[in-house]
Amino acid sequence: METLHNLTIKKFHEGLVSKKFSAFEIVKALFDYIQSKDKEIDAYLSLHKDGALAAAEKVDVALARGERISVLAGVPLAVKDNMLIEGLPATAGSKILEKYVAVYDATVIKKLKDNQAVFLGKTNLDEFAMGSSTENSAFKVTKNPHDTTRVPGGSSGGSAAAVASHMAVAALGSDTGGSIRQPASFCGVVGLKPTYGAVSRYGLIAMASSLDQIGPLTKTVEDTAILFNAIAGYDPKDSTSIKADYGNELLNPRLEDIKRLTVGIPDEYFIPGLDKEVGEFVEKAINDIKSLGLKVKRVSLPHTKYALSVYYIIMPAEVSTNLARFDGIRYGTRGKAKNLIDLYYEDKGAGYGPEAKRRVILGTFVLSAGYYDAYYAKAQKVRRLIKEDFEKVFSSGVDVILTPVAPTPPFKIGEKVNDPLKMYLSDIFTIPVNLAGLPGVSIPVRGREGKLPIGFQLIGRPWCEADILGLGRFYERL
Amino acid sequence: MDLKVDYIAKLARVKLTSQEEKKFSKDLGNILDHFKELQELNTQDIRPLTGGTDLKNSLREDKERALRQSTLDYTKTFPNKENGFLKVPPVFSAEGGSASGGE
Repeated sequence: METLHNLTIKKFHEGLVSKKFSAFEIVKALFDYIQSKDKEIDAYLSLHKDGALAAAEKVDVALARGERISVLAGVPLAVKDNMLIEGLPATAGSKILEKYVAVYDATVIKKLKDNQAVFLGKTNLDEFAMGSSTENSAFKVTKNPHDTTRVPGGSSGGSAAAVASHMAVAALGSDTGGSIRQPASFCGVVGLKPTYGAVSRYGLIAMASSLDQIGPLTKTVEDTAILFNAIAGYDPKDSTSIKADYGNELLNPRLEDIKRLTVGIPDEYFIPGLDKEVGEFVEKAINDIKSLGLKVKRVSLPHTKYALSVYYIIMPAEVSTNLARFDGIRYGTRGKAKNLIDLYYEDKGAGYGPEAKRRVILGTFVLSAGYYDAYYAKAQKVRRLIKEDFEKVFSSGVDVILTPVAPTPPFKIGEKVNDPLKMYLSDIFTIPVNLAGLPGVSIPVRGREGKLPIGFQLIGRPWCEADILGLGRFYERL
Repeated sequence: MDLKVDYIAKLARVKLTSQEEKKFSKDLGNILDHFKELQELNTQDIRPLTGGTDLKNSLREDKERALRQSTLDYTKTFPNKENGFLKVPPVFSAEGGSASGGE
């Protein structure tokens, strides 16, 4: 088991090509491990054993034939259950999609299949990715591998917990307001929310389309760069995707380039509500980064405090339209309804969980006649101000902004589930990044061995993933 | 607060239990109170940011593309079907609802 616990994408690839092990052996061992370990963690919603073993075997055959293989070939991955893999369930954590089987591959999946990656199974999430604890899943509550009485964060809690407990070498998640970064912080792994438009959303079950991005959850920053590099790129099937040239520095950053970066620390993120220990350890990370030779200065993002309100207007508005397709016609159970209108009421009423209903109601309200201008139009204007805050800081010579990821370490299961506003506050440091469309990565702070993990966030300019991941890589080598 | 949950639920076509209605009234009341802070800001001359992207008219080339044939049956998970078609209750009927009852 020692090998499984040490496996990163990089180490897996090295072991594979040096014939230390076969892909089949590792994947088989992983399923044996998952069978016992996941009883405790509940990270997976479905497993794909036969398909994964067959895919791994193909990689072994290719290698035996002397074919060149990708760094991702044979790498056992977990995928959040709101992304489509042809022939496998895609529940999005919702009862209304309990029986749905995907009929095509998401673009990210297709790209990873082209690299011969192996998919172990689909991971648990808050229903339709709505939540910060994975407690909103219709199927199970995932536990934090560092303390099973605590939440793994959310909504990509299953993916983060699977990687943290070594039930996958790496994973994919999606991030609308922090759903990759906050669970990464809670589980002690690395999680990247790419620039809006960097990764195709085709085949991702949409939550809030102007905010959603797919990204990696991995054990190291280096692995995040490898996985991001494989899934990024223009896709004609997603009209918001862009062809960006990331160059060599994404995978091979140079310390001399990284040292030239200036890091900004925004005052508005170090507030009284910030847990003392989180504050201390983020401070330590800042000092470590100074020791690398980077300049650090204080900056201001004055509209930060409005981000939560803006997000909880714009996101539910988009949710209320995106979820309208789950109305009992093509998906769902068709209960006893006698006519069309009752069918909508009944199937949505029975198929959606409480948080999905709450957000659909809130979103429908802010878009309804008489309230649109006061809420939705106002929020769109303040969203502009939040984006401009970042633009001003980035044009003042700052290249990277460093903040905490979440205001607290992982909280107890059940602690916030009945108070939505309290739960929503878990994402106050990650939401502004989605509103502004920027890349952000959560990296575990050093020195938390044996304690609950804490992450810090690096935010970059649009399309500058190489800056934040490059800095992250030199930090993790300290 | 001006949010009438039962009315909004009707607009959204979601059936709520009376317990849910009560809980959401309270929850959403608190959330709407929180939104009041936005009124502090003068946004008169601010252009709304209407989406996540700065792209304009991002269109595919107007060219035929091959439709990828799935090996899977698209209709397999439809909740009700007939001869490969999705079956739905009638939209219009004499009673103003469905006449066919059990679809």
